[in-house]
Amino acid sequence: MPNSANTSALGAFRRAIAQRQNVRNYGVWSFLLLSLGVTAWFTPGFLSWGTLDNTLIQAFPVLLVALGMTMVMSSGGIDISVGAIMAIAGAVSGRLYTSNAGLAPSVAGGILAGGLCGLFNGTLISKFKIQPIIVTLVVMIAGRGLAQTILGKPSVSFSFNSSLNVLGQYKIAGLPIQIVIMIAAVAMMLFVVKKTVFAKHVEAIGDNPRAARLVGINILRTTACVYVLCSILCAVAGIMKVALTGGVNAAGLGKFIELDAIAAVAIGGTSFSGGRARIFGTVIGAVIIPLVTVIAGMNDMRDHHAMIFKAVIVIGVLLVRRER
Amino acid sequence: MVEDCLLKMTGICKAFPGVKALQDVDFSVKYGQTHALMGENGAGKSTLIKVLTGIYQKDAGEIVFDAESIAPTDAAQSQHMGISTIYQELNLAPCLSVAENIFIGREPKKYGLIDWKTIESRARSILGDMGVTGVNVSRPLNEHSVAIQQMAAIARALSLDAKLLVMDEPTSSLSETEAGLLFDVIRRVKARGSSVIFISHKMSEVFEICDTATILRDGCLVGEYPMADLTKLKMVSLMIGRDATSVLHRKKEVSRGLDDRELVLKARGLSRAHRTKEIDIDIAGGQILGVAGLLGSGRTELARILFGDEICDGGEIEIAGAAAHLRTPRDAIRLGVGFCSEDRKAEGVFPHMSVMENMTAGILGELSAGGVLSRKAQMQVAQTYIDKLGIKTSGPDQRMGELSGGNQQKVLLARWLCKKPVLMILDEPMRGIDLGAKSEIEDIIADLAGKGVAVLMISSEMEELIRSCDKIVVLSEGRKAGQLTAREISEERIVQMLAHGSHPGQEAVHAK
Amino acid sequence: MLCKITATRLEEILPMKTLQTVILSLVAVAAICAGVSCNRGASASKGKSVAYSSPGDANGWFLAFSSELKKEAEKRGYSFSVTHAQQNTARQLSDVEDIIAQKPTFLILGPKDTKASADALRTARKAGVPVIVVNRDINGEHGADYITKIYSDFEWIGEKMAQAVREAFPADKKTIRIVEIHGTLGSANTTGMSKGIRKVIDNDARMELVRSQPGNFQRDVAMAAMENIIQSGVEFDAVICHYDDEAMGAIQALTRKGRKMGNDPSRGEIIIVGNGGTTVGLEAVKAGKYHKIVSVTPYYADKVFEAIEAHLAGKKLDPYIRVDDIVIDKNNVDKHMATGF
Repeated sequence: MPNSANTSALGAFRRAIAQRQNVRNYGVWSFLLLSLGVTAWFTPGFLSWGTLDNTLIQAFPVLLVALGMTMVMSSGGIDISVGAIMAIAGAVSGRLYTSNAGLAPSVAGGILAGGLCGLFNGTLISKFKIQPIIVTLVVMIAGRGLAQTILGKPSVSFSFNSSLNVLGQYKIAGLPIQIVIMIAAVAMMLFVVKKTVFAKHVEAIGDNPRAARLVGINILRTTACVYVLCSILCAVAGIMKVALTGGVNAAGLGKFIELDAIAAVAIGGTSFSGGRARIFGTVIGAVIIPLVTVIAGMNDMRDHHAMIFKAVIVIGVLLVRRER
Repeated sequence: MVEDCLLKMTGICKAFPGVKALQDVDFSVKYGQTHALMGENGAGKSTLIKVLTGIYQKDAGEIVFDAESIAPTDAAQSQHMGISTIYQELNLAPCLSVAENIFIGREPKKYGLIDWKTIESRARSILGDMGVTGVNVSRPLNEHSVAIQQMAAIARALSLDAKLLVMDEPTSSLSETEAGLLFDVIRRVKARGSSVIFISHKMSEVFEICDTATILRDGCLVGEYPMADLTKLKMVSLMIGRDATSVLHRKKEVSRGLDDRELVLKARGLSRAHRTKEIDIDIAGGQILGVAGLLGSGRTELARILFGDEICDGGEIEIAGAAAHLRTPRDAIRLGVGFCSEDRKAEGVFPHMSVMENMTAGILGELSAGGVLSRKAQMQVAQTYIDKLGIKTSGPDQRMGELSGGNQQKVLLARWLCKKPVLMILDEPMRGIDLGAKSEIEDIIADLAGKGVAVLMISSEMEELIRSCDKIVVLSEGRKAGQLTAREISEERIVQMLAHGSHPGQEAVHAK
Repeated sequence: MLCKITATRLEEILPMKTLQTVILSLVAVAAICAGVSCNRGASASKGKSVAYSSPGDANGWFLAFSSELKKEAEKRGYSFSVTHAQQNTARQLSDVEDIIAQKPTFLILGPKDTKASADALRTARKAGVPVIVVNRDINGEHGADYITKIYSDFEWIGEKMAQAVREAFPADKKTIRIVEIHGTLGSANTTGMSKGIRKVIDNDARMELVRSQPGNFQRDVAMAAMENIIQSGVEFDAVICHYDDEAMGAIQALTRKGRKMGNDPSRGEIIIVGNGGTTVGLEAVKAGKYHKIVSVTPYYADKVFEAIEAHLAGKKLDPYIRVDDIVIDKNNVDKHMATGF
């Protein structure tokens, strides 16, 4: 591949490190370990359960959304409406809960609303052949308005001992419920990707959509399912975040999470042009991003500096990861 | 002699990794000449034109244009020198007006603003000179017919003082009347002293409009011939490199009495747009039907219609005795049809997935329970076919993209074999595959037919068809030009049918 | 009509079925908007009248504020009307046009936007209706565009919050370590409060600002920030939040991390002080988790009418009259519960 990138200095550097096999494969891990080591050295109290707890709790929504995004990207698509879907699900649950619908119906209602959003995305994309980025952009903008309309007011809060708030702070065997859900979601997605016909069809569509059609894969149904799955994960993320914080803010819930989720998928190594879904990589990516925020917050870094720090880390990981 | 040549290309060589696309090709065009550049797919026509227009850089050779040695490095440069190309897909701006398209990038200006009056009157006069009148030059290009759009492209070239116009398949999307209009324009262009290089797969057009033809084959020059010395038959023979009178012996037994068997495929009057017209096809179980035809003859469209990938405008299809309404490939697959595309890379392989995944992509449902795949069952299928077809791979988990063309093709065949089809459609199954693998694939196909599967095989290689097929249908310009039964199959007959299109006998009058 | 215009444009880019969906959802949205539209319109009666153009929703705070105005108006013999612009500048401008058309004696304007709502001032000026600006600042010329501006001062609120923290600790406490969860950087409220807080802290040797992180007026952002601060191991005695939602996030984080919060530092309880007055905030005060709220008070109708009458008496007023906001704690929280928003 005689392209300009390879003739540049960076290209030379990359070639040099690529000479050692596996640098790319283990690069992300080495980078992660290195940055953790550096961080532990200058951050007091870093190596503790509390930091892990913070990181995982803050990674929770990003991770769930990124798992869904991994499948979407594996199919060769993209979903930027994930944050709005979180808000819609949160708003529906919040509205139901404040109308005394009870905990279980409220949660179920939110998940159903999320699933319907996914069905809308999936149908427009697969059946009407509208570009994923356009469809989900529309839902991203209109969805947030819809969430605010559903909620009826800018924000709604629940009292400290309400069942929804208790759910958000609930612990199972000493582990916060979010961490338990996260482990379950990752296990489920690993199973789906490794074992199911569905995931193989998704990968095939992402790898070569023409060939997938000619081999008889039901592209319509598979694509719709991918977006529904992603949206349901978003809905769970949104509802659990509402439960954790004890309130819904329809304008702010899940805002900009699409960027973190896409970055997580990129760090994880799932190709943007579709193909193999890398669940484990996505998990690492989804943890790195909030970890940066945690580190910044622990070191009293100013917010705008923290943003730059985050960008540098993400670019660093991507450079190590870069293929070819 | 040099003086009367506008263009003289000598000893042109061009190689791509693994392929010699042009080897020592000479090509020259005289002033005011309409020169046909002929050859089958892959003969090197496009490469030669791309070298001429600067899109590719030649490895060796010399180009003399208008008495000057040139070496263009991009299309803009060659255009500046006076070489304009009109492609199949027009490179015009469809939303701009006809006038704007003609003058784009060099609009006449007045006080720094575009002078619309001048632009439109000049556009009208250029079109008028070409004999094209009644065009509203201020309307967007895409509101006009394809023919007018092409005229605009030619007008643009002429207004650039093009000395040489290269037309690559200009008539592929024109009706006969529109093509006639185009030929009038070409004659006027010629009368002005400009030269034209005309590339078309429609033989009758070439004979109508061109003075001279240069024929290429496999990247080599076959020769330059005045049209008067050529017949369609001779031209086809030269293009495909077979002496039409020599007859090769077939590998297969001539007759196996297959015509008495029950038909697996019965298609009547298949039509789609103007690319396939009223085609009838019958294939019995165990029969291998060959489809011969030049590029653009409708052969690939026929395959796609039978597989439900394209929907036909008219006609009826019966598969295994039942009427088939094919709207998607899934409909065809459900009825037991399999299909290997001519473009393995774009439409066949999943390059990043494993050999096993590629092979079992169509039968995942059968290898799973409740949506959960059995890797064991997948492995079993993969291993069976790897052994059976002799696929050279490090194992079922090897990435498909790493396999050679021949082995990829075997995996794709296995993909359908494991589905046990009743009808298998193979579009160019041996394209881009080395000789050894070719013969193996021929054996696989024969084996398939031996099991009672009906096979439809498309190939541009005469020899492949003759060696494998029980029956051959020849397509020409979207129509069925003829059909040869096992006894009648010979290269001579095929070539004749290819050359004469759907009007056999017509040529015989002119032939000496 | 609107739907139709949109439809003709969309037709070209969307397939028919999608178009139907779009139209249906537009109709649905329009219906919802119509359903929630507020009680607009003002009745012009003989004698002196005042009309209030509220920028916000018909929520607790603005309802309290306008009912106070109404009470005060009736007491003093004015007729009164109110419109709610629901956070929509364009809507406020049309509200004001409607009001002006009825020629009230006074317009009380709560501007939605410092710049964009200034058009309302011109409308009133043209019609010769005097304006008193309330709730927040607006661009305009004192004397010409408005008589005076009466509203809270965020710097003052910041000072009050810091003072409330100081008062929560006994005089012999050597150091009071404070964490600030601030609002969106660049907003006038954030800038004002930060300034006021620092003014007090800088002048008191015992007080120390140990951390300042953004909460962006949002619960989840504040919660994450608080969790990270706790995890960094920094010791602190009090948290000042720029808004109730941030305080709620801080409370959630402290609760999750097993910290206590309340009113008594001697029992190891962290003192949380914030700005706001939301129902949830008031409930938290009542529950003993939220020490004090410096509330932007809705109770200054008397000041507004004093200004009106002073103007009618021909007196020249100061360009700005500050409202002394209220501090809500567990002793007076019940009284303020009704005005929670």
